Amino acid sequence: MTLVVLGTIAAGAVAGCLGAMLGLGGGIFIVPFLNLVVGLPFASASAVSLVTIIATSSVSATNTEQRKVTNLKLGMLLEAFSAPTALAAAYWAGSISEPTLRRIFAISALGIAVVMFTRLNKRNVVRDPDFDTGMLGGRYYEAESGDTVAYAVRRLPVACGTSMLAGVLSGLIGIGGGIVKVPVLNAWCGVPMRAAAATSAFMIGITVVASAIPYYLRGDVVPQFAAATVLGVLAGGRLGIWLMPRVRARELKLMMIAMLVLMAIVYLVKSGKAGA
Amino acid sequence: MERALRIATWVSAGLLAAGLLLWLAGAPQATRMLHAGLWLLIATPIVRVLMALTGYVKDRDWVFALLTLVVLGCLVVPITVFLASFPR
Repeated sequence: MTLVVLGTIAAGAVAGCLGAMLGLGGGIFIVPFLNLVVGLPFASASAVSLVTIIATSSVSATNTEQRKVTNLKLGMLLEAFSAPTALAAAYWAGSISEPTLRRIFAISALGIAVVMFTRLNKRNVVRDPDFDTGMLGGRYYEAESGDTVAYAVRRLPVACGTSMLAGVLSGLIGIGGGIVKVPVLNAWCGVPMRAAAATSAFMIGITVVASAIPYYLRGDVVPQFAAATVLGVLAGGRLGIWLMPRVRARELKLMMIAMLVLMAIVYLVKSGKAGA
Repeated sequence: MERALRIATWVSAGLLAAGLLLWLAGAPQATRMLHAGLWLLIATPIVRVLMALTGYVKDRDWVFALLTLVVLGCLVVPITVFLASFPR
């Protein structure tokens, strides 16, 4: 048992590091690990993942570098769409079968990978300090290019709809939903990758609390595994935050796509077996 | 306040670490400590939303105050239901 706990801490550290670099809670890595490697039921894997993501987001939200690029107004507006759907979906998840949840996980991962791949080289950045960002836009200093970056939020209804979808996925499959919001905010709504990631991390900490309570009520949170992943993620997350300014956005996206496709294939194969 | 929230996160991590060690040692109070750490973790984002709400009310930004209130309701209502489910 000690070995399983140590392995879970290590997996949490990897998830935390990747999650922090990609602006995600790391749930998309934690759920498959707990479900497939440790062998917890999908609902328990989701529950532990949700609790873990709270820790990632809390650290990210108090990090000064992250706070500079976080768009608080946009985040809170979109969260008013994510939190209610997350809460409803978490209650709903209690009556969905394991193979179905696995398929939802796989299909979501594939869909996001496709969106990311088609927009790989887009920058969505205007290098003009006087650029009108509108009420919800933002600007920040980017060390990589040494410029002030300004952006306006486009297609707000798309962002709101995506936030609702992110909430549903959070409640159903135990992820923060950042993996859905970051690509859409970046690809379709004009928010630069780094601002999208930081804003999403801020939202995720709230979304997962809304998702986590119904799981807690059902007794799905396995406290010792939750503790192990939280500790791993906190350690890994610090490493990820340190690495983030040193890694280029394009490589981050490519890495994310590769991970998503791999995860989807494994889950489609596994859910096929479980359903047969 | 940001500092307090940051400390809360690390205190909950400490509770979880201690709880995990106790659990591995087979101590009976481990589960209680683990749950205390988890609840502290859950409370941190709720406090952050409350802070945002007071900020928007102070600025008389009613649209955003309302949006934040919707978010807060999603967090507080299920917890209230959870606490109310305990037998008195």
